[in-house]
Amino acid sequence: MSVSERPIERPRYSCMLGGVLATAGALPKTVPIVHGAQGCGGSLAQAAMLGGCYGTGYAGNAAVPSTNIGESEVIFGGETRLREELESVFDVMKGDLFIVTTACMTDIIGDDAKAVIDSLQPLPKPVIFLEAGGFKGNSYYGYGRLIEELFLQYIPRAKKKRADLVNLLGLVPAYDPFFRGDLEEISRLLQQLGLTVNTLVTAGQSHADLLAAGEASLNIVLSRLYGVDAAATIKESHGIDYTVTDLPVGAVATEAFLREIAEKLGIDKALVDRVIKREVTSYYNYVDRATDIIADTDFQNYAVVIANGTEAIPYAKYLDNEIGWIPTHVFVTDDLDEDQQQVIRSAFDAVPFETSPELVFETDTFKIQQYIEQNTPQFLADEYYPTISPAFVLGSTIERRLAEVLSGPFLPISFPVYNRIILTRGYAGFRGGLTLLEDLISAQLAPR
Amino acid sequence: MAEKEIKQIAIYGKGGIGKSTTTSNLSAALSDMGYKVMQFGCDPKADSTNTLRDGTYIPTILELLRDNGKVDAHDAIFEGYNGIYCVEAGGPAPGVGCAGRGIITAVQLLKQQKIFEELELDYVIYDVLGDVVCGGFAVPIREGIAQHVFTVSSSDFMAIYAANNLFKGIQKYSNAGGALLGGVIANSVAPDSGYQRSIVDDFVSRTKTKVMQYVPRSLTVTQSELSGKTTIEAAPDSAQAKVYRELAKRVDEHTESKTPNPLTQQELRDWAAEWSDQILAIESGEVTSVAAAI
Repeated sequence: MSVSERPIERPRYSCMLGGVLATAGALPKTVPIVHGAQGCGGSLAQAAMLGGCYGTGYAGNAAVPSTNIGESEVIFGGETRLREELESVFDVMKGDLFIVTTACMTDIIGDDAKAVIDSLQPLPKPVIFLEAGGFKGNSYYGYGRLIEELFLQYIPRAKKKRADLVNLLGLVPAYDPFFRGDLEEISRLLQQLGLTVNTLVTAGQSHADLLAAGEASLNIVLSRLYGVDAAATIKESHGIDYTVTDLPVGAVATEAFLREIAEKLGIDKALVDRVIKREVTSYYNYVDRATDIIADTDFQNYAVVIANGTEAIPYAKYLDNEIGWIPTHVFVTDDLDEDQQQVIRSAFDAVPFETSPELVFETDTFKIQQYIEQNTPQFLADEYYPTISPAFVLGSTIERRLAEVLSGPFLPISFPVYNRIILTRGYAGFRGGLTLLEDLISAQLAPR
Repeated sequence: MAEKEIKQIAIYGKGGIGKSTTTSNLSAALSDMGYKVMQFGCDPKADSTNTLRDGTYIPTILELLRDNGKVDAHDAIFEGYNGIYCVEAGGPAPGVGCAGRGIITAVQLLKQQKIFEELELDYVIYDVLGDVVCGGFAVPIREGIAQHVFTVSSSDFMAIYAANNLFKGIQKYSNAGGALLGGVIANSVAPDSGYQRSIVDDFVSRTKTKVMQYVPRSLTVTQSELSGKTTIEAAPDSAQAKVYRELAKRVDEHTESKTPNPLTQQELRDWAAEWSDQILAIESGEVTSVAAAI
């Protein structure tokens, strides 16, 4: 069910431009340039910091140049200011790719930014342009649109595909706080199947990798919602087939994921079996180590998962299918339309939960707590009712209060997450599953 | 110094319908009546006050803002015929920027600097561009600016569509303390013009407003404008000047404006279709009761 739509406080995403800037800032040697009002770039840099202290990187976040237009540009048009800014940026900033975006104000007044860019030919380096007025959508939408334009305007259309090359899409820098660790783990696994993997947005990716992305034979979208439209566009423009899967978290999900991809690409089954056997053996070797503390600490928990449409179900599935917890509620916190909610419902229904949690679409932090309090027997009467607390809360940093209400440990895993820095850490794949296990146990042990 | 009541009026209407001509003559006539008047052109073309200043253009508020970063309102006010204060908001070149924001900025700038009070004005008349296409062009009718709106319209359907759109804007802001409608100034409509007058009369009756004045087409107006003057200045004894003076007198005596009752899109279409049929019948010589009534 959907309890409410747009939250007016503590939002769990920013605007389209926010997604574009966070993504552009993750691309190798890329300089985003904002043609917008004073405040857009800076505020969105702060917003992205809520993605595990995302940071500036090459020329993202706090380093993004902006035209900082004022009232005069709003009235008379900001094209002259944009030209001046572009000339200055090309002069002083080194980058292999420039991404020029408009923002709300310049989209409303209708500045023809594309014409300004075109008038500056020859351009010193490749320039991508996209209209990114924040009112067009949220940061997840911005990610998808930038990926689309990256392919349409920058990545060459290769007729000949490389059977061993795949691209990973769907994880949004900063707004999926573990995007780097997750993508790197998925890459590591796919590489063992003999594949070359472009993540586009992790350390070590180069422009050679980006430019080769058009030769890929498959785009793997690790989200049921985000990057899917982009993948469809790329299929049309570049002839790259795509597959949409859940983000695999833990041994069970990851084994299924690898088999699914291998089958799609026609990879030798014996190789797949060997890789999976090696990974699974290693995985349970570590799990084995953890069984002592698990047994000692009465580790089986009720849990509430609060995350975006990409992460919520994979985490709940991991808790239920892999470590035997009982997730009672899964809150999907994005602002989704009916079709998108249906996509999530279908993915949710396909999970073989031992005890099926309740799936709720809700973005408002207070209403999430209210929902649990008003729909859980233990909060309705003093005794003779089964209780779910102590319940473990896997949510964003702003779920701390809910964790107190449920008297359980708390692990911040979804945007906004600003009480931990996230660099290499990820929860996807085999290693990510182990990391998640470590973090869950550590959260439980932390009060010791 | 006790603040005196300033009567602030906004004049709207479809582009090219004669707003600036009517406004300038109204300003000139009110000025002749002894009032201190400011005419405030709210159109990026910045030509509202030309005929009050011998056909010359004046620097606009927004030009000054663009060139200097800030504006002292005194630098944007120029005296014209009979001491009328002339101001032009100005705006961007066609096709760029946001003219609506320009109007907001210009109007607010004068308001903030309390220039109307300083000049001890009796009248501020805003001459506003065409349709109320966005929030910017509605600023003069929003709370705290004009109290009365008059719309200039001919009997052309497009002019009436524009007037009806304006009525919608007024209706929208009417509950929030915005300006109300004083009436319609029927331009290029002689009092004895037959169906042209009937069209305007019918429209005002359906929308629950009134006609302030019928202003016939006149060569005197054209001749005066070609010499860069209002009719009041160039041909004060003409019949047309008398029409404008009558209008000024009615505007001066006008105290109570009302919320109009705009037609819906469908009502307007049906209404126009009905009139088209009647006009076709009249022009083809068919005698009907409606034509006979005209």
